[in-house]
Amino acid sequence: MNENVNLEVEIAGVRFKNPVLTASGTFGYGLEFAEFFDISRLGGFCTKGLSLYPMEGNPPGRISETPSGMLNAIGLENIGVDRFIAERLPQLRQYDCVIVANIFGKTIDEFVSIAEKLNGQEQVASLELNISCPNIKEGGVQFGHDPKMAFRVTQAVVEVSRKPVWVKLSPNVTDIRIFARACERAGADALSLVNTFVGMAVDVDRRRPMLSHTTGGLSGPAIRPLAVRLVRQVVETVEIPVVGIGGIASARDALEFLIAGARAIQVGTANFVDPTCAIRVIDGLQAFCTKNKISDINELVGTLEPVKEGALHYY
Amino acid sequence: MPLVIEAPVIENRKYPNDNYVLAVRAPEIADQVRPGQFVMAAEALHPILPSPLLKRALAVYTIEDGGHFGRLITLLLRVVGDGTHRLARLRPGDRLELVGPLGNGFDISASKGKLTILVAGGTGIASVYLLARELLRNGEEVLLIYGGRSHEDLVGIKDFESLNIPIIITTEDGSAGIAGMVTDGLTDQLERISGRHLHVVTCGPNPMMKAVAKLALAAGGSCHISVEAKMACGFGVCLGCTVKTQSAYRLACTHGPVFDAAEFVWEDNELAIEPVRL
Repeated sequence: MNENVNLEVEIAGVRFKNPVLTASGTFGYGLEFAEFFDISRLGGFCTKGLSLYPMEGNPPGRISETPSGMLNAIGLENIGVDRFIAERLPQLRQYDCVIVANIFGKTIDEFVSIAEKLNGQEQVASLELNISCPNIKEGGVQFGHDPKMAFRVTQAVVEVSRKPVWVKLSPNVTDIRIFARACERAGADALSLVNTFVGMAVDVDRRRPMLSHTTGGLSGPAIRPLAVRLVRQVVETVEIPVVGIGGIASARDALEFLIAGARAIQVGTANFVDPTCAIRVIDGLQAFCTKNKISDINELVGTLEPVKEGALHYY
Repeated sequence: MPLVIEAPVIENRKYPNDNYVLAVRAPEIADQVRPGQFVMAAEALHPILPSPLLKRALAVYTIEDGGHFGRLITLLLRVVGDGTHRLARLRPGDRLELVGPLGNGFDISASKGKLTILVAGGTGIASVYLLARELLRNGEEVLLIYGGRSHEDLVGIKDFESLNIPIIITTEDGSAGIAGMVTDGLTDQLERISGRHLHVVTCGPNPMMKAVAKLALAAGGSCHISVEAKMACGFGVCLGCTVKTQSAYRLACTHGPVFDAAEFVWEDNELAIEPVRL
């Protein structure tokens, strides 16, 4: 390891050891991975989406594998913010790990209540508002697919929260830049994108949807080029930091997002396939910087070369 | 404590009806696996991701002494889709990425002082071999009822014959043993042994396990099932492999794969459909 490479990044005043986080819904509450590797090595991790009360999630038939990816409709099964604070945070204290609490409410008031409960929790460094879950009837779509609602929920949480507030954006919209701007104007400290793309798969033997919820969110390497393009669009639209998510499974994948302008990235579905994937990404970033004589990973962020004059340049 | 390891395939034994037994050099897993536990397996192609992307959950079938290769675990699989097709094509020297051992495994104490009847359908046999061996080591009495569509499905028969336990074979086409289902074999046995303390352990397709559990519980026995569910991770974070129990949704990977049949809630629309392979 080359100690001379600085991998540390900063988002809204919070310092992360490196730009590699793990994505909400793919990393449990962190402790599940502590048996595979030292989670203190991560830049940070995003918790499973926390709601005001525990949720049991959707009936069985929750996942289906698709080419280079998977569909899921878990339905936000989680232990609720109170149990997270009482049972998981004390156990996480032994790790020097930056925790981003992903939170989700059915109403603006619920978002606000959860943010208030987490205000006193020193271990939680930032909040990530999930306004983009495609798999529940209430809450997800109504905030993530209406810019006015996205603005209102962001503003309400920013007002009460003593933590930096990230907003996790949905890709299932006509123009993601409208949502990025709305959240920025509402006071969001950072944006993370993308959540999953809505998809559907059919069981041809039974002639019924593969998922009990009919549709689900597509994740995995299949969505990476879609995600890179959306991240680039948002980077060119807002001033606040952007965290890139979508199909990252290697350092090269992560570099695409960083060069496109993401300040940090999140590894998601790849955690299921190889629980140590995030560590491989961190080691790979270090090796890339060393080989290219880059002393600070921040020097790479947003260094995407402009296309040559005359080439088409819109997306 | 589960491990992530790369393990070389030592042998790929082909059996009729798209059945394969992969022998893999994995002493670290052989050392700690308990009966009824499983591994997540896919070809290791670093730095390229395998396709299909997700690993497949496979019971650790047997533990073998691989001579100079060290201790091997074997994985029994039948080709039903892209993931198992990919695994079936592996050759000696190819490498598997394994995560495991995973899952709760069987409760050995549930058999104490009872007659344990193992009821296995098809590749379900893979989940109960290590259990049979451990129970015999503990001096418990074990009987196997083993069924398939035809005698060619009975891939594990030789391994169990060498355990010297009573075996009742059933085949749907009558090509071996009783012509019928495992439940026919079980009904016979339950009549014969009425009055004895009984523990039934079953692994196979859900409709089969549902029928077995019904018979076992009606006969006053206890019954444990080892369920299969689609899972992405195998260690409790994707939350994809949820099953219903009387008290709550549970995860097949970490709360299971072994459940008490008396607490398990079977899906109404469970159909035993054999996927058409094109």
